[in-house]
Amino acid sequence: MKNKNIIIYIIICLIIIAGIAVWETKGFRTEMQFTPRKEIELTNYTGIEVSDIESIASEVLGNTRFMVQRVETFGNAVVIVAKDITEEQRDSIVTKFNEKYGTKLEGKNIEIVSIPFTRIKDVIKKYIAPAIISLALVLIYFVVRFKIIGWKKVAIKTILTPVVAELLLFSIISITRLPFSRLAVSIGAGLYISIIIALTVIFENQRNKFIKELESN
Amino acid sequence: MKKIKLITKIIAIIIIILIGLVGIYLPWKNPINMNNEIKDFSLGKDFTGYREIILTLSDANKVLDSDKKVIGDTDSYDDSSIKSNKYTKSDEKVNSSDSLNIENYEKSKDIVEKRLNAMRIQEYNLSMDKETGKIYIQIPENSITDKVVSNITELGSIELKDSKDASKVFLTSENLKETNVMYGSTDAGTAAYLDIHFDKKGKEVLKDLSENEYKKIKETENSEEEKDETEDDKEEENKDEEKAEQKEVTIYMSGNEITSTSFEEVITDGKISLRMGQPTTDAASLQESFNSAQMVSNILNNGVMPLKYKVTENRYIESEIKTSTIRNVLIVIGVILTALLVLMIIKYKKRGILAALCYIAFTSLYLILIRVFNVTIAMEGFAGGVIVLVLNYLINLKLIKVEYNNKKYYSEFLDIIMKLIPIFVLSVLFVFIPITALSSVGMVMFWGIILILMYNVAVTKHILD
Repeated sequence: MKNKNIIIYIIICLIIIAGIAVWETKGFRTEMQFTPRKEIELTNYTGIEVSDIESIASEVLGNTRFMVQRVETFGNAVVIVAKDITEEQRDSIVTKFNEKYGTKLEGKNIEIVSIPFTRIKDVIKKYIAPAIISLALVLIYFVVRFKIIGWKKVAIKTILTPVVAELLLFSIISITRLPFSRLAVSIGAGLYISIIIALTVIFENQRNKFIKELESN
Repeated sequence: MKKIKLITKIIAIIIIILIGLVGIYLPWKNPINMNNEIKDFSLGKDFTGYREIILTLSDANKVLDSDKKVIGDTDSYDDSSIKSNKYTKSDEKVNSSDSLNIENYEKSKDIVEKRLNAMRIQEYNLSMDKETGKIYIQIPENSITDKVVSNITELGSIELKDSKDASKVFLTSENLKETNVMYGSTDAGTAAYLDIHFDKKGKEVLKDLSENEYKKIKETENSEEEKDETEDDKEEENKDEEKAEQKEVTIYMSGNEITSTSFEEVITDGKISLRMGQPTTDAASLQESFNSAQMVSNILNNGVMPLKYKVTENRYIESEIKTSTIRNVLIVIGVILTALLVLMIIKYKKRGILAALCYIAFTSLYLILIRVFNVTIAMEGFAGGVIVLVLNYLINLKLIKVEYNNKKYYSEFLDIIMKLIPIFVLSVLFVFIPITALSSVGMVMFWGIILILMYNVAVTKHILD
């Protein structure tokens, strides 16, 4: 059992080291909204179907990652967001758009807007202080309530488990090249809460067992 | 009798399920377009959309008046207004080429971020292009979004100058300690006031100005009157002269002239109060004045932009998360929960069916609570909701095993309460954190845990009994 645990710990360490190495060398593969990107806006007076624009964009942009989003709430404007949009591609999209909707848009009048990338650091930093404060609160509660099962062991597990779990999650995202997105942040938050619940259940059970053993002795 | 009791309980549960999943429709209220009386979910920026704002460095030229004083730039004055006002367009740019560097870009971005935080914009995304200095912002769409857009590029400077000679600058933003907004009552009603506090040096300057040159002339007026009350013409003449001699200071904010004044009293506390808007007895107007003053205060308190930016894109963009994606996720969660409930039924037979019914009713009630208490659901809040549903399932599995023995039920329940305490404390903590993602998860978990505790004692236990 002990050997099995050691193997698991080694595997976790290796994954985290690999994750950090990939992150250091390549960084995270980020979802479109965090990457430097370009966008063009298309409008008409009659309403636009997002699926139509998606097929036009797919035809023109080929394998380039892109997304189509509605602009404003009248249903007659969309933006095409892609990693890169050249002037030729824009003109081609506009031509196809005109054919589809009978508009007379001119490519030269549609600006290709460059959007800078969002630093992952900026996305994550706002969560750090709340995570530390909440962990400190939980740590105090755990150390006081579970001192009977050894406060040092409890403190180390309380600090290490969520930290290692989060590192593991982001290492897996980094190694597998899954795009870093808001979903990843949400999963991170969900994981943190789940770890705290799991730790509480484990420590409570250990405490109950310990008390029972004491009573039976 | 027992059977009737059970049937009544099951009917009550089915009603809760129907209300939660379908809603309440009152045909007599609006027979044509029946609306669900239970309000809709309040979704966060992740699921609805956001305002996309792009700030680009201004390449405008300064505009001068006939006295060669800078009165604005070509972003605010077009060629026709420059001509009609007899202004001139200077060759000098508002952003000099020397100022266009990475330090100033970073500083501008930091100031924009500080302003967004001060305005309590919780869900923002901010990025900057290091080559062009362009700043990209995503903020949620709500009642203050337009005010944020129109104020975010303000220079944020404050200056106190001589009204006649603008080269005499007494105080600048460097002397500003802080500003805050207060209410003040007058005979005409209540007004919002912007209190501007200056630092030690500012305090000395204000004291000096207010007791010497810029003091409101009163004493001479009185003494003149005392001299000879009959010499009316002469007196009028003197008053005019005094008026001409009365020196005033002008307060400029972000380069715009706000007010000119002299000092009635000696200012010893280094504080100037500016009334924002007219005094009113109307609560809504007063709140609006207060909000505007608060916006100005937020801008002044967070530093002076080293560069002038202009808003080049400002549009609402729908979320990239499509309705179909949300629907698919909900279907997956529904299928998993159904599978778990089926397993529960297979394992625990009759009690399993009752527990499953209770579980579905819990989910319905939980959805009603989230809607009624207007909990904003961000993506993290969604994750919190899933955790609550899983927790309740595990708790139901535990309670289902407890036979008809009150003591044992409550001892099991006490154990559950002890296990929920830390996460409940975290939920309460998250509720008060001014980040929508965390406050959302906090609220969702808070109501979820409250409901788990109350529902399982008040409903699940009685149904299973």
